[in-house]
Amino acid sequence: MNQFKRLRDAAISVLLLAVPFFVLSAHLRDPARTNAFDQWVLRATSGIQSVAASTARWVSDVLEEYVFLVEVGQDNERLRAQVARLEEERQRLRAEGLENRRLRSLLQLRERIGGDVLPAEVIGRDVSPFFRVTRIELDRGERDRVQPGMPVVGTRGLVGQVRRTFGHYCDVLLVVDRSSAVDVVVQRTGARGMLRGTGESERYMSRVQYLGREDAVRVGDLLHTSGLGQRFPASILVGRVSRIVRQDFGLWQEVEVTPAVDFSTLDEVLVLTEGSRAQSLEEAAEDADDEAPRVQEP
Amino acid sequence: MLLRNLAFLTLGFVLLVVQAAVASHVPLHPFTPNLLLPIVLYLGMQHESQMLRGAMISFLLGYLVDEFCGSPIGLQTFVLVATFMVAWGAGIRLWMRGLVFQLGLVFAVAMVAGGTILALRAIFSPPEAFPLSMPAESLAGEAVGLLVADAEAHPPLVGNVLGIALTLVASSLATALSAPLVFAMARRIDALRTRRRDAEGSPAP
Repeated sequence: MNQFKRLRDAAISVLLLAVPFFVLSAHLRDPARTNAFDQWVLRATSGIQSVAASTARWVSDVLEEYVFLVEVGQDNERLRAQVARLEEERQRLRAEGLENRRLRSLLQLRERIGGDVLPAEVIGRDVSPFFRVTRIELDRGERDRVQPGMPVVGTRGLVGQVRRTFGHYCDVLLVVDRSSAVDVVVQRTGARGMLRGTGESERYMSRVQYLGREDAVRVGDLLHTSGLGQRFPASILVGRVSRIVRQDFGLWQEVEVTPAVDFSTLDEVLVLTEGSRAQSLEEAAEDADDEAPRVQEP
Repeated sequence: MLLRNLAFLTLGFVLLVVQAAVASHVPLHPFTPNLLLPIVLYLGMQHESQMLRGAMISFLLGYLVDEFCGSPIGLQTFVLVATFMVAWGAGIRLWMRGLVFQLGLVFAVAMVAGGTILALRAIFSPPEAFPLSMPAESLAGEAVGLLVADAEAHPPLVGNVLGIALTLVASSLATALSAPLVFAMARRIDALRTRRRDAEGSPAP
């Protein structure tokens, strides 16, 4: 029995050695040179091979899926870092885009105003307890030939005028300051008045003085500089009428104006020097001359 | 016994998976170990186990390699079964000789196994399937090309021969260096079996 078992084991072992040998022979041989035995081996093993290949593929897929899942964590980390970097880049580009837009508007304003204008950047702000800007400083001063009284405009409208100048910087008196006075005209009606700042610390607000009761001003009307007084050029947007108080007595009506410029977000402005003001005043005078005959025509 | 056989098959499978995972991150070539060769050697050295079971496990491990690694069906199967037979027939007690002997033996067996693979491909493969211009990775292909191609039309290149030799040596070296770890795992499987047998045989407290 022991002898038989030994012989059986030996036979099976030889078979285990012979089977792969002949399978290998059949698989590696040139198809043109295969004999009947090779073809029989190929046929016999094809079924097993098919099942084994499917199993191997399935296991391989499962493992790949696992490896994929393992790598997903690493990918997440990498992608998170990438997202953070791209977000930062996006914010930077957005800021640059906004700056670009502001500068473009400023350039257009400069071309529109013409003459000698000086671009300047806001380098300092005084803020009220209610976080309202009460005073700004610009990076232009005496050395840039900036003088007190020169108008300062932003892309949205009139900011104020230079109050004091120093070597490399200057102080600006905002149109909402209590001591500011600008001669304005209501664009829709042509009514004139004097815009004075209220100096309120919790909001940006001005009032128009000396606006006749009979002037039909409406909320939402735009106010521009009139050009009179020769301090500010004409036709610079100053603000919008936000409230009107008409009383039954007196000559004037009380009109509140919200300035066109948001002083909290002001970064770049133009300082209108003497040349630009002179040119602007000349243009305003020409416009007035052109319009005069048309008014008389009817 | 069946559990032991399954444990060795599982070990072989896990080692293949680990090697594939490592290879996907770290380029191993030419130091590519054959991690299943030490298992087969271990089985061949265990004379208390039956020859037939060892041969069967070697057969299945070889088939596993052929199936998963894309080598021609039967190539690794034949080589691993043959390695087992030789190891079993030689009757060497691996554990008596120390680490250096183990490393040397595995290195020698890996070299012979690599040479056998080259020889088998040279015998069975048509020469045109293994052009001399094949990349260095196709070790067997280049060797066959050198052995059977028309020497006048395709003069053998010294660089190819050197590359094949270096790859063979590097691969065998990697197999030898990884062998102690594989042996330790295989010993652990046997130790578990022995402990279980002892526990079953011991009287209840």
